[in-house]
Order: sequence, then C-alpha cells, then structure tokens
Amino acid sequence: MNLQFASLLIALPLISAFFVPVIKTISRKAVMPFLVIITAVQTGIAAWVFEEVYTGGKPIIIMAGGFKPPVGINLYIGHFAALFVLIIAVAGFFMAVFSMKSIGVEPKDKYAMLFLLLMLGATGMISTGDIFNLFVFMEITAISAYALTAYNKTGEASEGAMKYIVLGGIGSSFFLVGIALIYGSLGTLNMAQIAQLAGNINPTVAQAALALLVFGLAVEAELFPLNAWAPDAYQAAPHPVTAMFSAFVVKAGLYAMVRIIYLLRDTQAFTGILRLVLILGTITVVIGELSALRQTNVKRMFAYSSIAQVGFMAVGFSLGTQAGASAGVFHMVNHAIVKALMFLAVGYVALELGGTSIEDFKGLGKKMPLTAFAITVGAISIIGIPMFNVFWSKIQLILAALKVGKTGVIALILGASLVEAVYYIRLIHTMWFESANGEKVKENFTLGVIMLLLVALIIVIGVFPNAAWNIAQKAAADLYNVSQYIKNVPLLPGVSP
Amino acid sequence: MINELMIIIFAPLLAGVLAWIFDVKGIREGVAIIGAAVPLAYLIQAYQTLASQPSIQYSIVLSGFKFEFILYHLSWVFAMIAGVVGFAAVLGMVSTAKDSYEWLFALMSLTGVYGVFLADDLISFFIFWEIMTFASFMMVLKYNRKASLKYFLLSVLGAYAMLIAIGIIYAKVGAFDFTSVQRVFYQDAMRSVMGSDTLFSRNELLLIFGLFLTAFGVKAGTFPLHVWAPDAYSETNQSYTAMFSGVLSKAGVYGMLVIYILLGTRLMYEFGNIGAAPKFGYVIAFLGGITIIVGGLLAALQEDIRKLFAYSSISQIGYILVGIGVGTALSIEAAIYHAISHALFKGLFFLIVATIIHRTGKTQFKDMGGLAEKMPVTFAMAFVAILSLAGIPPLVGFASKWLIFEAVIHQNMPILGGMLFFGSAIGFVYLIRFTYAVWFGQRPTELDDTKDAPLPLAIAMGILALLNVVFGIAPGIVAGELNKIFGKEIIQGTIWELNLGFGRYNGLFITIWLVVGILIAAVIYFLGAKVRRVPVTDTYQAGNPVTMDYNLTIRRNFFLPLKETLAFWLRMSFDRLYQDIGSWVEDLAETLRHYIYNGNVQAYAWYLAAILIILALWGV
Repeated sequence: MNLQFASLLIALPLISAFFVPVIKTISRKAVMPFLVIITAVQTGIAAWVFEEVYTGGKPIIIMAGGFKPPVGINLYIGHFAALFVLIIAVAGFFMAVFSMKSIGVEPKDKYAMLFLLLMLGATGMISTGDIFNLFVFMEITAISAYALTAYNKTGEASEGAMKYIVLGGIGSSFFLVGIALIYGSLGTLNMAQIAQLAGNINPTVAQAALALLVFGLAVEAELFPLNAWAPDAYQAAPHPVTAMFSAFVVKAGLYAMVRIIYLLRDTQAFTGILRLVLILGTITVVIGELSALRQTNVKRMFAYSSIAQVGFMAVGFSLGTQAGASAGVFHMVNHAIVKALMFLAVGYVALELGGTSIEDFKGLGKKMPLTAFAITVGAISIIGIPMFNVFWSKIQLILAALKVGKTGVIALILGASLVEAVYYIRLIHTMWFESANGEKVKENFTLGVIMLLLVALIIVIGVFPNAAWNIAQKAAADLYNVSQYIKNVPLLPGVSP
Repeated sequence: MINELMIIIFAPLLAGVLAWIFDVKGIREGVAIIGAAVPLAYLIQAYQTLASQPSIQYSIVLSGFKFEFILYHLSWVFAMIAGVVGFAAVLGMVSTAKDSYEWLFALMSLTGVYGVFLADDLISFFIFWEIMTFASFMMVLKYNRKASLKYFLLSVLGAYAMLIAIGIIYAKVGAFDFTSVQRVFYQDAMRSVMGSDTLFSRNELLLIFGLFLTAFGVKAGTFPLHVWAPDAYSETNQSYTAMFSGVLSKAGVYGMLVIYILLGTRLMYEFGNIGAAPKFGYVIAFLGGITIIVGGLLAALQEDIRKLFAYSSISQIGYILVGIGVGTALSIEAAIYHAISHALFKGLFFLIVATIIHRTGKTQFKDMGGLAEKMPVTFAMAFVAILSLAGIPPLVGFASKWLIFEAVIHQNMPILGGMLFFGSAIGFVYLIRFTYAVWFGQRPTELDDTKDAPLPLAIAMGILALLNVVFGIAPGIVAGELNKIFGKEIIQGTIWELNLGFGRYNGLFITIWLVVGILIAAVIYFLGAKVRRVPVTDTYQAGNPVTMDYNLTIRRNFFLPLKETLAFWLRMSFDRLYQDIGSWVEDLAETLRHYIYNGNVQAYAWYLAAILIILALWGV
C-alpha cells in the first residue's frame, strides 16, 4: 500500500470532526457510535503505520502536495511518532467506548467533535516535521482541551478550564515568539533544516528562542511550576478526557519540548537548558508526590501522581544520553497504559457510585471487584513492584542516571516514590479491607474487557519487557539521534535561506 | 526440560496462583502443600548432585538482562532452611489460612525467598527480593494497614538503598553477575594494597557498604531499623509468621553474607581490623549486639504473646549478626548454624502461637493459663522450643549459641561477649513468662474446652521439633555441611561432637547424661520426695523475699520493676521518631500544596512570570 496513505492519520479525524454535525442531523443517537467507529478505523491505520515503520525500519515521510521540504510541509512518522500515534489511537478508541457510557450531558455532537480534534491535535504534534505546524497542532490540541475541560458545565469545570486557558494561552504565545526568533535567525521552519543549521545560529538568539520554546511547551508538559492548571483541569474534565490528558496530551507536549531541545543540540544553550529541565523535572516529581499524599479525592490524587510521573520522564530526557531518552520513552509508554487504565477505572467508579472521593472507594473490592482489581494492579505497577511494567522503566531510568553520575537526583526521586507507595497503599487498603454498605454493582462487560486488556498488557510487559524495551529504544533513537533525523528528511537540495 | 532451579523457585508461585484461581477448600490446600513440597524434594535431590560437582547453574536472558542462578553449598543451606520451614508453615496454614488470598501471597513470598537465595546476579537478587517483600507486605496488609505501611515503607527504603548501590556498582563494573563484581572488588583490593588507583574510591566503597547495610538491615530487623518487625510479625496469620520470621528474615542475613562475598576483601583492606575482626564487620556485629539487648528487653515487657515472640525473634537475629560480623570462618559458620536453629525454633514458636490463637482466639497473656493440661501435644512442642531458644543442651539452640560464644570469646571480644551473655539471660526472663503464664497456673474457665492442635499444625510442629532435637544431639550433621561451604574442616569432630580445638561439645554425651540424670531424679522422686508448693515469686526473685509493694501476677505486667528501671531508655523510641518524621512530612506536604496549588489563577500566572525571569537570568 502506498505509504502516503499514512496522512489519513491526520485527515481522518479532521474530516470526521466536520462530519459530526451531518451525522447529528441524520440521527442524534448515531453520534457516539460514529465516534467509536472513527477511532477504531484510526487505530487500524495507526497499527498499519506502526507495523510498516517497525518492520521497514525507515520513517514514513509525507510531503504535503508533493512539495519537497523545506518548500512544502512534511510529516515525519519515524519510530517515535509511529509508536505514539498508535498509543493515541488506541487510548482514543478505548475512551470513545467509555464515552458512550459515561457522557450523559448534551451536546454530545460537540463532545465528539472536540474529542476528534483533541486526537488530531496530539497526533499532529507528534508527527509533524515543521515547527510552525507544530504550533498549529498544539493550539488545536490546547483549544479542544480547554473546551473539553469545561464540558461538564459545572462551576468547577468552568473554573478549571479558565485556569487552563489563561496559563495555556500565555505559554503558547511565548512559544510563538520563540518560533519567530528561530525563523528570523535561520529563515526556515522545517525542523530538519533547523537542526542542520543550528550551529550557525547566533548564540544569544538561540538562548532566547530555546528558552521561550521550552517555556511555552512546559505548560503543556506540566512541568512545575507551570502545571498549576493541571490538578483542577484533570479533576473537572469528563472522565474519558482526563484519561486522554494523562495518556497522551501531556506526552505530546513533553515530546515537542524534548524534540526541539534535541534539535538545537548544536547550540551552546543546549546543556544549560537540559540542566534546567532536569531541575524542573525533579521538583515536579517531589511536589507532585507530596501534593498527592493527603488527597481525599481519588481522581485528583491520580492527577498529582500523573504530574509526578511526567517529572520522571522529563528527568530521563534531560540526562542527555541515549539511555536516558530510552528510559524516558519507555516510561511514557508504561505510564500511558497504566494511567489510561486507572482514570478509566476511577471514572467508572464515579459513574456507578456517584463520586470520586475516597469514601466512595470503601469496600470497592466487594462492590466492583473487577474495577478495584484494575486500580490495584495499576497502583502496584506505578509504585514500581517487579513483574509489573513501570518497574522496568524506573530501573532503566535509574541506571541511566547513575551512568552520568546523578546519584543525588535519583535518591531524591526514589524518596519521592516512597510517598507514592504511602498513598496508593492507603487506597488499596480502603478498597479491599474496609467495609461499607452498598449493593454489588453489575460491572459493564465492554469496560471490563478493556480494563482486563490493559491489566494484561501491564503484566505481560512486566514479565517480558524485552519487546517493549526494544521498541522504546528504537523510538528513543529516533528522538535522540538528530543527525539521522536530518538525513531521513529529503530536503530539496539547493534551497537554503 | 525445565531447569530444576527454575522449578525450585517457581513451583510455590505456580501453586499459589493455582490455589488462588481454583478457590475450592481442600483443593487449594492440597495444591499449596505440593507447591511447597516440590522445591524441598528437588533440593534434597540436588544434594547428591552437589556432592559430585561444586554448583548447579542456570541462566536466562530477559529484557536485555541476563538472569543467573546458582545452587552451591551456601545457597543450598539457606534454601533448605526455606524449604523445611516454608513447608512446615504451609502445613500450619492449612489449619489457619482463611482464604485463597493468603495462599497466593504466602507462596509468592516463598518463591521470592528461594529466588533471593539462588540468585547469582544483582538484578535477579533485587527482583526476587522485591517479590518477597511485596508478597509478605500483602499478607500484613490484609490484617492491619498501619503495620503493613510501616513495613512497606522501611522495606522500600531498603530496596531503594540496594537499588542505588547496585546502580553504582553497575556504572563502574558494567556487569551485574556476582562473579564479575566479586572479581572487580578483589582486583580493587589488590590495587589498593599496591598503592595504585582504585576503581571505587574509599567514599564510594563506604557508600555502597552503607546502602547494602541499610537494605539488609531492614529485612533482618537490625536495630534501629527493626521497628516494622514487631507489628508486622504479629499482625498476620501466625502460621505464616513462622515463615516470615523463620525464613524471610534470613534473606537479610544472607544479604550480609553477600556483602562479605562481594565486597569483603576490599572492605577488609581498606578499613582494616579492630582486634581480629574486620572493622566493617564490627559495625554489623555491634549493631547485632544492640539488637540482641533491645529486642530481648522489649520482649520481656510485652503483654501480647505474638509481640513477645516478634521481639524475641529480633533479638535472636542479633546473635546471627554478631557471628557474621566477627568475620572469622568459625564465627560465620556459627552464625549460619544459628540461622538454621533460629529458623527451626522460631518457626516452631510461631506455629505454637498459631495453634494457641487458633484454638483459644486470645492473644494476651492475661487471658491465658493452664493450657498444658488441655493441649499436651502443643505443650510438648513448646517445651522443646523453649529449651532450644533458651540454649539448653541437647537442643539445637545450645549448639549454635555455644559456637557463637566460642567464636567471639576466642577472638577476645569482651563487649560483644557481654552482649551475648546478656541476651541469653534476658531470654530466660521472657521465656519464663511464656512458660508459666500460658501453660501453667490457673486456667480461665472459658478455656476449659480448648482442644489440642489440629492435625496439620501438629505435623508441622512435629517436623520442626524433631529437627530441633536431632540437630542438637547430632550437631556434626550441620557442621559437616557448613564445613563444605568453606571447603575445609573448620569445625572438627564426629556427627555427635563439635571440636574446635580449644573447646568441644558432644551432643550425644550430654543427652545420655541428661537421660541418666532424669532417671536418677525420677528414682529419687518416686522414692519419696516431699512435695512443696513453689510460689511464683520464687522464680521471679530467685528465692529472695519480695520487698516491694508490687502485686505481681505473671499474666499482667509481670516485669513492671524492669519497666520502671528502664523508663528513661524506653522513652527513646525509634518507632516514635519515624512516626513523627512521617507526620511531619505529611504536614509539610499539605502546607506546600496549600500554598503552591492555591487555586488562584493570578498566582499561577506569576509562576509563569517567575520561570521566565529565571530563564532569562539563567542565560540559557
């Protein structure tokens, strides 16, 4: 099959989003099934792309309109993008299924539209090869995320969305200024060409531009203290949306940040900014974990935990070695699986029992054994118990950090994950060993299957981490190895600024 | 065919999972017993293989890591401890386990501990260590959240300490397997002797040692990291505690030996000796000595039968650490010997406690009394266990304690020797309480229809009691195996006799004389000794008249005078210190969160501004 069909990854959600109003006029009830079908198709395409990229070993370059870059805009679906596009599609599909059950508030057609746009934006951010295009996709993601946060129409939701808009808006405008500086200095927006020419850039301009770009993206990537919007937004957003935030929206932001930092590796600002990200990442972990400690709202607790985990990834990437990047990518994958599962489960509990406060989780093991089991497996995995997937990424991260002699950082991070153990164990104990009155709930079959699938994935990766680790290493190489990235993009010869 | 080492390690886990899935009473017990028996059978079979070859090895590659396993004499001895005591504990659980949850995690922890003993590289060592910790944690979690949390936090602290140490080693050595690590440290030691540059600096070495010491100290229950043990040991199924205290704590002991194996030479050359003991070993020994005293004193003050034995277990582990710390071949053999006896008598004790709780439903001394009449079998077992722990010949506890005393005294270490003797004395103090308060005296009426041990528990206790006696009368059996570890005759003698050159102990001889003595005493008794009632104060006051105004009953606060004497020291509780630190951190976290995530979007915007300024000033 022609590899250019991979552009459907972008086109399909976009066109489908525009078709939602049409579907709605035909039948109101058809909107949510339509969403499920589209995400399923998207998953199929993503799986095909993933298979092509990983068996072929070559990235898929899609040139818009057939113009070669840097004249035309290109998509770059390398190992990293192929992996994450698949994760986005799968998570999107699962959450679309979950939405059928959990979204009761009208207008559902708007929800479906925003849902698709959120997926589109994140997919675009990860696969684009053009820095301005990246900005556009980031805005699409962010704006649909703002709207989805407010979707529940409660005061809490509006407040959360408002905070998100203000901070996200500030972030993206500075990001745009950063792009302008790069463009002004190099005269190109193509990411491969920027990397190629990065050595020539004026050091002061490079410093300022990199600082602004990182600043703008750190808001989306939830690095402390730019993540203040996150707990509110996570808590107030509809449950499937929260799961998507944690599974891929934040990761798209982090990816963009890391990609840009690595692209500008030839500039003098590179080591400085890495050190800054390392510090921010470490603080993110510590503050995130500590904040989760006394949360009585489970969804919010998971939100803080999610923030802390992003800190782990940032630390991995900021080590500046291939091993660190691999560990970061591996942790991204594992965390996406675990948090998708946990937010799905929490959302389902809220749906059945009416809330996400810790009171509702009392005796959950008796009321909803399957869901409680899923949350337990997720929690145990996040704590980092061997034979569960997160253990492997944590250990790789630690090894990578020790190789570059950052023992102190590791000690701090491990100390913070002690805190993690405390609050997750409290939750587990509450679920299984505290009695509460209430009927046993008949658990939904489809959601049960999804949860069990994710649980199985956690355990399979935990017991046989080889395959996943290899994939993560390849994806990280794609991210880390910039010279290969430049070579892969067929820049039109002779066109230079 | 599947490798036998893999069968030994994973058979219990497989059985546990099966028991968990087929949650049918009868079947799950049967599966569990098979799961515990299979590794034991394979270990016994492996004994013959080990007679003809030095070790059995196996390795498997997963996730880019090569996992290596080895069974040689040292690990065989420890694995046998796990096999025998684990099997007995599983038998005991047949009577006391309530549901399949307990089967799953009890057997999982057995798998973990086998893995730790058989691991031949740091990564598998760590992974199985964590599996063991996690499974035992789950056993406690079911019974008590607070106790389990304390256990888990300290364990995770230990695990992370180990992980960092492993990471530091890996970063320099580039390999995880014990052989390479050991070689590198050995070469390093040679280099430092020659005066050339070493791979690991003195400080790094100290750091690694400290981290390992923390990791293994937690599991062994070394002072001041012991605080989890009394709660965790008592807040779970008591049959499981037989394994928990008998076997899992040995993983900590084994870890101390791993320090010797991996780092020993280098540490010895780098830090020198105190007297005859290596300095680093002396640290272990000294901590062990304090553990003996603290554990023993606190055991005497407990009102709960489970806690008494939990503290007593901690105290006895101290002996093992002293033996390991002294660091001569003899003392290490003595320590391993005591590890075996500790597992045997402590396993037996906890099974006895399990029986008592199973039959009476009570855990406090104040509710007990006069059970010897109602539970004769259990009492007989308790008799063996008491004599063994107190170190009375001809039981195994005597043989091993005697070896440790000899080893310590032979090296002229008066302080450690004093601690050991103190520990023995305090051992009598708390055992007398258990003996009298539970078995003798007036029986509360509600215990009048207490039945004796159920069959599985009785068999389990019987196995352990028998071994207590056999290894006491014929200590040479154990000594012979221990000599194989070092490959030379460190403890000489026959199977009846231990001969150190400067002292000897003949188990059979003493047994014969003991029997003769008892016979003579019996003859005299039956010829007409006068019966005299001995008041309890006589035991307590050693015949002196009671002068204070205490109303002492053995069932409640019996050692009140001791408690008052120690009042000053008892106030210094590490347990409370850790708890204070914990709540302090929680308060701090809450305050931080309150101010940082204060919900004010203007404040959040200021954060952005602050970061921008930092970026500008940073000059990135």
